[in-house]
Amino acid sequence: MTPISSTRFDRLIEAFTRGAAQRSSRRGFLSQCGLWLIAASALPLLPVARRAQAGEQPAGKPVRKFASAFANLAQTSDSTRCNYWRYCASDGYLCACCGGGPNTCPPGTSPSPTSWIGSCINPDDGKTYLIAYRDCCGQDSCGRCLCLGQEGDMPSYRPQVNNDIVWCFGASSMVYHCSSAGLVGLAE
Amino acid sequence: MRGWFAGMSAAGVAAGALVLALPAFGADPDDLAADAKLQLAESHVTATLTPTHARRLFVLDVAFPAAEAARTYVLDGATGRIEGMFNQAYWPNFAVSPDGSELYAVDSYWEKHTRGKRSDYIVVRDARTLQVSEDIPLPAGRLLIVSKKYDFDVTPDGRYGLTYNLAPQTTVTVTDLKARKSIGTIGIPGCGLIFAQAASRFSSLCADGAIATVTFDESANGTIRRTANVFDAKNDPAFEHSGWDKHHQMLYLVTYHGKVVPVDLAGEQAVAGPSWWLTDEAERRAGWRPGGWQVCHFHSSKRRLYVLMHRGGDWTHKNSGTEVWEFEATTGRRVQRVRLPEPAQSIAVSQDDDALLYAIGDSYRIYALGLATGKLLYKTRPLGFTPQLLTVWGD
Amino acid sequence: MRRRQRAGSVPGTLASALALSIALSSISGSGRAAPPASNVPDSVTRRSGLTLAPMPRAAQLYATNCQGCHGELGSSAAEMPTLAGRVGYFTRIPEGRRYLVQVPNVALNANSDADIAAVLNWLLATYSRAQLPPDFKPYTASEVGELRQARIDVAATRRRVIDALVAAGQVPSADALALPHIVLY
Repeated sequence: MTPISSTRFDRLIEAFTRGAAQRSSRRGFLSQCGLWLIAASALPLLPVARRAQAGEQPAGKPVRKFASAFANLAQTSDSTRCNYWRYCASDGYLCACCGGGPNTCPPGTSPSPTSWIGSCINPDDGKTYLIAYRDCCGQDSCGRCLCLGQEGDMPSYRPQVNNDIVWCFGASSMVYHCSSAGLVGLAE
Repeated sequence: MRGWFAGMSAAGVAAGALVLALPAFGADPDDLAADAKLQLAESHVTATLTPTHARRLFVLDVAFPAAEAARTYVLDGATGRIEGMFNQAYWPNFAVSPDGSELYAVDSYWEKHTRGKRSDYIVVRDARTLQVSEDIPLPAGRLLIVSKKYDFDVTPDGRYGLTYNLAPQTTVTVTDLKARKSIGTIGIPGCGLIFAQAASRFSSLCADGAIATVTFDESANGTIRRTANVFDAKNDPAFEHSGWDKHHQMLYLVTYHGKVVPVDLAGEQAVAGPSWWLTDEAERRAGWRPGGWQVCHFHSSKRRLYVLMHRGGDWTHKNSGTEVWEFEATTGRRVQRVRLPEPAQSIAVSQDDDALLYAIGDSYRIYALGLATGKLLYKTRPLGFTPQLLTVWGD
Repeated sequence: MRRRQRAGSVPGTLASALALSIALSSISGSGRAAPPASNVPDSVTRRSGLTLAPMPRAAQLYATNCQGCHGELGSSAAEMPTLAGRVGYFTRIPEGRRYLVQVPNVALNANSDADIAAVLNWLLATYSRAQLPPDFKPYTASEVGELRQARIDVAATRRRVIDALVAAGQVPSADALALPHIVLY
């Protein structure tokens, strides 16, 4: 699932900025969401976010340890951030920010028995794992922690490897809530 | 009476409202003389749009943070003024009838908002009043996916609306827009997207890189003819929002890496022409490549292809574009590079001679630039939640 | 909540890393005993103790090309044709054997003929060994390469193949391979 894209971060930041006046605590809202980029720098946010989204190093010496630009900036500890290693092709709101986790659906939703399966490199062991991008379904968009991973995402005429489709086939309803990323296996 | 109301100036209405507001609180309305009411009462009328024209711009806002709140905004493309809006439903599609008289919204509803019985429709609206004239059921349903323009198309004669489904067999439902009725479903095994080039014909892109062309009859019986593979679906797939010149029945496939494959869709079977690159070698080395959501658009009478370009590595096909590159589609010659005021996800070009370039910026503002001058005409304030697709009449 | 997910018969032959991983993840989070140390550096697996062995190549091909819809155990949402306990029937007649290669997601798949042959043989043996004919011959790359050139009308071909299987007494009844009617949801 994804809407617009590349600059989800930018858009999210923009949305936060625009909506901040109506919210009780912008700081609280942002920190709950765990946006790593926002914590990392003050304005101007947008170019920083875009660079990171594209998988480039924001500043300093470029890191090119892995073939995957995403893996070079990924971490394995915080699943509420867009750069959590499993989200290299995840597109949408993170279930981990919505009452669930990488393999847990938030209350009131159900995991679709269907998914699309991609692969990501774990930056700590350098191994490639297969990841099931499984949507949690049954409530409208969770609306928190919008991320756009693009690695391996193909157009929808190759549906097995497309992250725009509402992967809620076989769930209680076809309404998309959030995106999860369960481990399927270790690639050979 | 009608003329009188319509003729009241805005200032007069405002002044009248102030005057009338005071006695209305304290006095019984019956105390007012009838003619005073008529003279002073502010009346409400509903605006009507001018007939669809080349510079009307439709912006589909998929409202991702609350996706059931999707809507289409109607803008005056020349000024950026919002002229109206109507609600759409879940991950919708939108199109304008070829004669400009009707607007088509492809919508999915549940009877209890997010649950209960699901119903899918092509909702037909009058293009000037935005009033619904018909809800045409789509009994076979439709694929729910982040809205892509070519999951819905209307045949050039305006007769048929074609909607895409994956359930999981991939099919196209044919709806007779004149008879207001879905007439059947045609299988397009292994293919997706709809480019409707003729009265009873459409083409789709297939998982192996082939083009399938379906010619159908009035009962929606289709005959499918496939090409050999015309692009590399595994290593360099074509964008879903490639350049579509419906008027000349030419599809300009633009690939992730920046190759263009012109495909002639006029006949029963598509014919691919020689491919060319958007970029030269130096530009490719510098990382220039296409990317975004509505990555390409086409100006039919000028036969120009417009592509959102950015600098990035592999798997940046959805990154926003910082420039729009304009090409002569028939020769591959680049006409100009237009630098955008801010990176954009989606672009469109008005189909009139003095064409405008529209872009949805990352701040959700809509930008318009004169293509002849490259000058920014305006930027709107951020529009809606997550505006995603642009439609102009005749695209 | 998953009312549309079939119970699905679990094939007895499935002893892959997949099954192991599923079993392990299903007991994770019970909190009764300290989980074994995970071999995946990750915040979730540190708690669950999930350990993963490298997947065989064919299983990996199945996972990345088929499993999203057909399920880890060969059964998933009702609208996705069940493989478990069913798909082997098709190989009992030549037209059915061809059909399995010519369904669009196989024929138009981006992988090589050899990889497609490997994944077909793997999924038949893993999910539907009992339905294979006694003289079943694994698909070869060249056979796949030839068969996948054809483009079929999937629904019509499937009907024809099932009718032929019933006529030949190769399936108990047409119901054994029927697809359920799906109401939009």
